[in-house]
Amino acid sequence: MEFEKVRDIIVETLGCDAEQVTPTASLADDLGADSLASVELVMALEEAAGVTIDDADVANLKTVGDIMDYLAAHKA
Amino acid sequence: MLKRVLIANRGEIALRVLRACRELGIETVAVYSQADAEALHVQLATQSVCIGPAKASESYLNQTALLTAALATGCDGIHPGYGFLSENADFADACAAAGLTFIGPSGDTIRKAGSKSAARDLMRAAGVPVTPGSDGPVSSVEEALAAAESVGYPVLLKASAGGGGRGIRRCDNAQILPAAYAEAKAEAKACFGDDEMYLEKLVLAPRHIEFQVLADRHGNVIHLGDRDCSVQRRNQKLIEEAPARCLTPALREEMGQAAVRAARAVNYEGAGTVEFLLDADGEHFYFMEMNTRIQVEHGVTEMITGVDLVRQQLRIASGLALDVTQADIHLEGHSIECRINAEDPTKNFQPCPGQVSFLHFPGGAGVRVDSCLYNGCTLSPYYDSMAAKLLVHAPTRLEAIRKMRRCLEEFTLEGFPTNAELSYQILYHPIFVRGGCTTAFLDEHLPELLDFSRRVEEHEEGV
Amino acid sequence: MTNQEIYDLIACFERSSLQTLRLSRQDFSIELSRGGAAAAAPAAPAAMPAPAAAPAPREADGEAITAPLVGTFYAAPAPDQPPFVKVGDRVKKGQTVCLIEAMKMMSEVPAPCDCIIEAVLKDNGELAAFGEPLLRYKPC
Repeated sequence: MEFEKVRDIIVETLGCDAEQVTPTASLADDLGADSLASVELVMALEEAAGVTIDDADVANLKTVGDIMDYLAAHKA
Repeated sequence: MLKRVLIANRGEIALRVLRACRELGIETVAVYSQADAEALHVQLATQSVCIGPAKASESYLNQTALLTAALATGCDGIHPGYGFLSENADFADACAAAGLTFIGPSGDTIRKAGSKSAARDLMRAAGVPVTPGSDGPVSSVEEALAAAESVGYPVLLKASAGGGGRGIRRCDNAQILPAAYAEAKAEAKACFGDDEMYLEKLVLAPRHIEFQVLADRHGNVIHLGDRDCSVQRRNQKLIEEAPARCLTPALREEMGQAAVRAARAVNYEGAGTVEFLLDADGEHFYFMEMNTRIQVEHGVTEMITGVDLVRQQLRIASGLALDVTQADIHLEGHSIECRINAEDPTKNFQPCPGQVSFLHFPGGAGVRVDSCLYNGCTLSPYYDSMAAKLLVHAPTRLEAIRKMRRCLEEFTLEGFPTNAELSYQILYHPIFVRGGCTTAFLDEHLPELLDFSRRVEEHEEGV
Repeated sequence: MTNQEIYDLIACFERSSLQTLRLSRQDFSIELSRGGAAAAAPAAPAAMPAPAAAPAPREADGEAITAPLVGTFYAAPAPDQPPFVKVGDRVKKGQTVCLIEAMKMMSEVPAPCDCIIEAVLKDNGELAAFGEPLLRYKPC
């Protein structure tokens, strides 16, 4: 999924600004995602990308870049 | 078409049926007990007749009174709603004998689908997977031990005439089976006057998945997708969703076809629900039971398919063929329903009906409220404590969850406690949000959920 | 219910979109219904099946014998026979004053005490709702 689409999902789900969403941005520290918000972000990404993200992998998704890499590696 | 339908029920389902009738130009006769004289649907019906005192057995369950009122007011159909007489085979036969169309399946079909062991045999013959168990009753401890051996522990000992969780005992090994068998048999005799027992494999931490079916008199049978009702407490559903998130398209197709075969196996007519247990492995599913009525949670299926199920019941009962084919059924987006009950979760869910001093229902895009309440009305203590159903629909499950949170924040009912706050907390629980709830979820997490809402209240009082 | 309350009720009924409103109290019931042109009247006139004006409760205040079950009211034991009682009759406690038929089963309705029949409120063959007043009497 291209970066713009992932960025928009993050903006909509976390309620942050598009400019903040850079590949190195940390979900928790830079984008203010608490544990529930990251669960919701995972849900939104799953529904948009049509993939299932294992709970084990969720913990490793710390930055926007991690999400991009994971989605690239796990096509629908 | 049917011309005039007697609504043999009360509360929100009576209003739901009245609305569908009104939209089809069918006149409605509302019946009510003296406790429900001021009910909303009684005011809105074409005609209304008091049929008995508050006690359900002398009013809503009084078959003679219902049939008399229907015939005296010139009705040609009776809609039983859910609960009360909706799955009473004798009542269905009595309606037919009186020349009235019972809006639902025949008494014969209700009997076939209703008896647990008969239904299992029919389903097995129709190629619908059933939980492995004894073929027919187990009439002695020895037979039970043999059956348990072949099926594998843990097993459930169940009364054939059972229901509502009575006459059932779990058995994890052969040592405790004899005692459990005797206990269950005694309870079945006491509750149902019939101690015939059968045995079933116990599916651990299953998902409770049900499929909506529609069948007309012309051989058309379709399914309208699934509902997940796993958030429940002691067999009482609290939150229902459609579609079930844990089903893959392939599994949904397979289960849907099994539901259609189940309906055909009992030559079903009308709107029905086939309930399955989905194993924790998310692959094996087993027929559990069939409900031969419209269900409380039918609205979530309506919201994702766009099909008005009560309208379809009325069309089918009028002899029309289904006007939707299986190909027409698409599951669009996601729907969630919260049942708002007049009960206090902090006092062990003790029902506490009373008068509504102030009421505000949420609204807006994708929001539906089914309720018979109005400002100043009284919720009577004689019947079940469900006061309203809040339903939402949105393109994705996450959006539906967020929409329901907003609705519960907006929902205001003063006059008696409800479980709205508890449902609100559930919608913020990670396991629920992640879609990981099994039927054990609520019992396991109730203390945590109640504790959280208490801390919120203390915080609000402190502010 | 005072006259003022009735006027208020009618006023708020006018403002509402309800087609009919029916209110029943212990000894008083009123039914309002909206006749005349319905908003989008279908080809056939939207005749309101409910009676236009609520039948004025028949006079004579006394206590009432009410229907013990829902069914069809019969004033006489059989169509060709005289009614059990007429206005002014003196009846004994337990004496049958009318019948209620439900699904071919006839139930006799007894007088609750020695009394004089003041009014017969239902017509022969008319549907009687549960608890609905059937006859008025004055204990004696």
